[in-house]
Amino acid sequence: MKKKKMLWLVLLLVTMLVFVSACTDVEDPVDDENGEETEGTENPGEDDEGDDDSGMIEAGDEIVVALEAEPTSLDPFNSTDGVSTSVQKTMFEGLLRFDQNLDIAPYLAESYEYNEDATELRFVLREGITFHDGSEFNAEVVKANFDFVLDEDNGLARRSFFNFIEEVEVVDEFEVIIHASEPNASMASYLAHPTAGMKSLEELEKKMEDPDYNLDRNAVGTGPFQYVEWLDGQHVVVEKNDNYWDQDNMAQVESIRFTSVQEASTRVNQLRTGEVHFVDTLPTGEADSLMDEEYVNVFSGPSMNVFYIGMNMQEDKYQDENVRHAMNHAVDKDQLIAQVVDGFGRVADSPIAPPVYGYSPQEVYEYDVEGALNLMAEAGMEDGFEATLWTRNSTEFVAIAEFVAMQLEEIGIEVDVQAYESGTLFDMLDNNDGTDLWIGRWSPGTGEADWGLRPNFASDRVPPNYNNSGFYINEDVDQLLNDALENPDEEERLALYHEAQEIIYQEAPWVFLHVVDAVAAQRTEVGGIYIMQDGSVDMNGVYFINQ
Amino acid sequence: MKNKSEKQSKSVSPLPGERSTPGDDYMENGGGEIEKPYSPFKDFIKKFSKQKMALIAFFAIAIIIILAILAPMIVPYNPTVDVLSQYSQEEQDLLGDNRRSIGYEWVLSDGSVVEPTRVPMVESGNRRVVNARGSGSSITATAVNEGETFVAVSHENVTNYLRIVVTQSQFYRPILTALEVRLGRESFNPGEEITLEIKGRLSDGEVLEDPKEIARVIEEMEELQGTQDTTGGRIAGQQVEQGEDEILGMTFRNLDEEILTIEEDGRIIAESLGLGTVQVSLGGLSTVVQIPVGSEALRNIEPVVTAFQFEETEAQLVDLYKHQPPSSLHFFGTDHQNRDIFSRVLVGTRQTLAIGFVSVILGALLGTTLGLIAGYYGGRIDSLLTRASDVLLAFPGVLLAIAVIAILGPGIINIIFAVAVFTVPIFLRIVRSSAMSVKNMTYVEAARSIGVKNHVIIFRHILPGTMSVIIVYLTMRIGTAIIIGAVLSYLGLGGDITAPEWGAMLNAAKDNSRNVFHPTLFPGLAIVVTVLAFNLLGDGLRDALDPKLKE
Repeated sequence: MKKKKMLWLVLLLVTMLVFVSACTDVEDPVDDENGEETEGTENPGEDDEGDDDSGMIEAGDEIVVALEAEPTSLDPFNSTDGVSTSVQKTMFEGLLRFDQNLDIAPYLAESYEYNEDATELRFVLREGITFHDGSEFNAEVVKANFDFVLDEDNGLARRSFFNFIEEVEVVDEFEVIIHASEPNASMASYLAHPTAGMKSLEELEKKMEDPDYNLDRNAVGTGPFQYVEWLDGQHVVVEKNDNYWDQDNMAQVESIRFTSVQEASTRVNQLRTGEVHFVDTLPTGEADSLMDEEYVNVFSGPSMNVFYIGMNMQEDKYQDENVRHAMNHAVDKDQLIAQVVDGFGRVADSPIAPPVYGYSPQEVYEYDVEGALNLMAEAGMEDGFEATLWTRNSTEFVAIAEFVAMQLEEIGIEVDVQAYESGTLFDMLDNNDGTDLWIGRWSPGTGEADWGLRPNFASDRVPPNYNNSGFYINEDVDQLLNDALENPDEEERLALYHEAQEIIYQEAPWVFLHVVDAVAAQRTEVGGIYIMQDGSVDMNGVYFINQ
Repeated sequence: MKNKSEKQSKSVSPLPGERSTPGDDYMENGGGEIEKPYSPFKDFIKKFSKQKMALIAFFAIAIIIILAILAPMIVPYNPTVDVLSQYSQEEQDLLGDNRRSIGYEWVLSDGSVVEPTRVPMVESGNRRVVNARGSGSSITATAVNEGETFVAVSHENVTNYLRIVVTQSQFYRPILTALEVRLGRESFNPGEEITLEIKGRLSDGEVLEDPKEIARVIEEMEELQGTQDTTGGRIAGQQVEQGEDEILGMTFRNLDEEILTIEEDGRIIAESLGLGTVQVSLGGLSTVVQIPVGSEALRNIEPVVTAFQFEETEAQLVDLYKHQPPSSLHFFGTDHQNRDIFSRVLVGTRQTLAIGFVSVILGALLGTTLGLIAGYYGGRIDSLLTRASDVLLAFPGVLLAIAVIAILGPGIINIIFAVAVFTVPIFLRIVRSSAMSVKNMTYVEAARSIGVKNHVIIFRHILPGTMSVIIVYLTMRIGTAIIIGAVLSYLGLGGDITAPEWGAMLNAAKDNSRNVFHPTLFPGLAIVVTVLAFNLLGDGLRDALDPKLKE
């Protein structure tokens, strides 16, 4: 009796095991479904088939997008993450914008021009634009917006982004001049960044009257979509703005629902079942299997995200340039790309990525353990040393950290990998809480070299004043960056940036790893979605095919 | 657990009949059994040896423990390092390379071969198969996934291809690697039509002369390209340049407008004296040809690069860099960092058992002591301890452990402590109820009546009576403790996330579980087998130690 029972038990366990290992991912979407979405479809039997004309989503005119996180704020002045930017872009517009080739194009402004020494930027604004609340867009609004973000008392996350602005001068109702405190030929790039989105004056006044008024949750812009609701932990919904100023670029869908789905495999499954139309930041391992799906298109393209290992230059062990070079030579970037990002990446041959304006490739530190060991010996570090490597706790970062830890061990550096939630990690880096090594990722939102280099390598950007968490101090680099910013001549600027990159790459304050490709996927029934090279998504032109 | 939560009797009443069995509160109550004259140990052995499953479990655990002790000596590979660097030379030769550096030189228009002075642009036809990059002296191709593709190497107006096969060829044919263009005549005069002879060089060295044949090969090669469907959406920033004039897919681009003109139909006409240059492209391949117009131009031709000369134009690679399936080399395959899963599972046994044993023993020690005290003294101490354990038991075990980790921080020592914390109340309860019933036995009363000190009574007279429960529960709880330990390290609370630990291995492998099964299967199986063995052993022990069970 007993024996038989045991046998059954074992059998049951084994079946369960097989079942569980086979089903975990497949079951997920069922658990995560928040409602009747898929139940109402006519063909319950064929999950993945879906007919061509209707797809799986019945609410015909709603696009559903799965984002990797919830936005932090709907106020462009008060958020620094790409997810928030993707949502905000549907509702807010700036004076300028980056078009799909990352060229600067006028948006709410009709035209713009610099003065001779690049200290002023004059805008002629478009007329007849109204905000979602009906108020009018004019020069006063522009001034109010910039004054608002620059006011220290408002404590906005992006204040420092705009601190090149000295004054905003209203010339007449539709003409405005931005005065910079120093010559700055990158002003237009900064103002084309989605962070410079214009808010309604009435909203700003509400905020000024009542400090408790929450601008993070009240989005009133001029964009093709307007804010409907934000349910915590669930979604943000925006709907078509029927009074959009640009008749040629009216929204082509009724609404967009941005859901936040943290688990990457869940996002992928939702896409497979047709629960969502578009998935951003796809795990590269999943991209392969998605490519075979009939109703899913997978895209990849160059991005501006550079991965690196930062090192704290205040530590004695990293003082010798030979050590830093050795570390660069010790990491096999080609294998890292093959192994960790499944081929969706390129070796970083500069501190900034190829699509960034001002990029110039340098000679890559080739994988060479022998050479690295010699360099370590030259630096008197034959016995290696111990190091702590901080990483974010997402799968991709952890995999990179594990990989480089193994490789650094080959040249005698004993690496202890510690994973933290990203917010915690940033805090630790910004406060220099015992920074040693860390895995970093940087993408200059402005798409040009200044924002790619300055925050990471300028002497005045050391913690707590931004991202130079490794305390890299080089006055030549500072000088070059300042000169480049002040120089209105394009060729000379490029030359200065090239020189800065050369110095940085040569001095190696980072272990330069790779530039990842942006990988995204969407259902075949939608089109018109663009991934910008800064990683944010432009959904303003989204439409349904076959409808 | 029927009897223990009833009101506790504070008085030392003599033998309440139905409660006289030394403490098995999870068994049915029944008449008390008094020890027979034979050795109880032999009796236990006899009973235990009849439990076949428990016996198997016992030996399984013995083997697991031995493996854990010997693990560092018997692992075939270093569990924390990529296996590629650990293969012997023979193995490496047998398996092949996952990377190849192919040297290259420039071929100039006058036929000479020179050292390159600039790094070429290198682009893989399908980066899902091969990643390629150029450096000063060579082209490095790194295998990514199984498949076949080409690698385009370009310098200015010249593009040549390399054929790269990773593990398995899908194409089985050589591909076109370069175009060769020769002039029909040595020089031309203005107004003349220029005739070109175009040949295609295949990756196996064969030369094709028929343009139709070349076009056919090019067409076939499309299947080597990565599929990047662009209907209905695009990634910003990609530009596609269109060719100008096509003949059989071939395009000519005039690089010197003054000397030559290219007609609509693709004919090239010499215009004026001098040296003209035309780029000839087909598919993605291209080369340039210099066309001297007038004999004057012949004399001062500065040669340009027309092709690359590679060490080899075909390379066979293997994708061994991760997720190798189980094989005789790696019994359990390799994981996402190409570490040997068999070795990792083996080494992970140590930590797993350490968590299981140490935490449960710690918890049992504390829980037993407190349980004895509560059961023996009763009264206020008892209610205090019982309520405290009720509070702890109100939390799900994992939650409690996570809370402890949140306070102490991640790390294996803290995991052990966390698991111990929620083991305490369980032992406290069980031991308490046993102690309470033993306490009422006449021999305890007798000991007390002759003035034996309380602690002596507790440890000498009551503890042995509760021992069987403790032992059974100890084995059972080890299984649970292992699971909780694995859960905590799965959640990334185990400190070093790269450590070979079963839970952490499962966590690292979960994202790829759709594509590959072995990185999740084997650590999972290890957990199942170990926990099952401990539970079966516990079951067997319980049956063997149960005095009521005769046969």
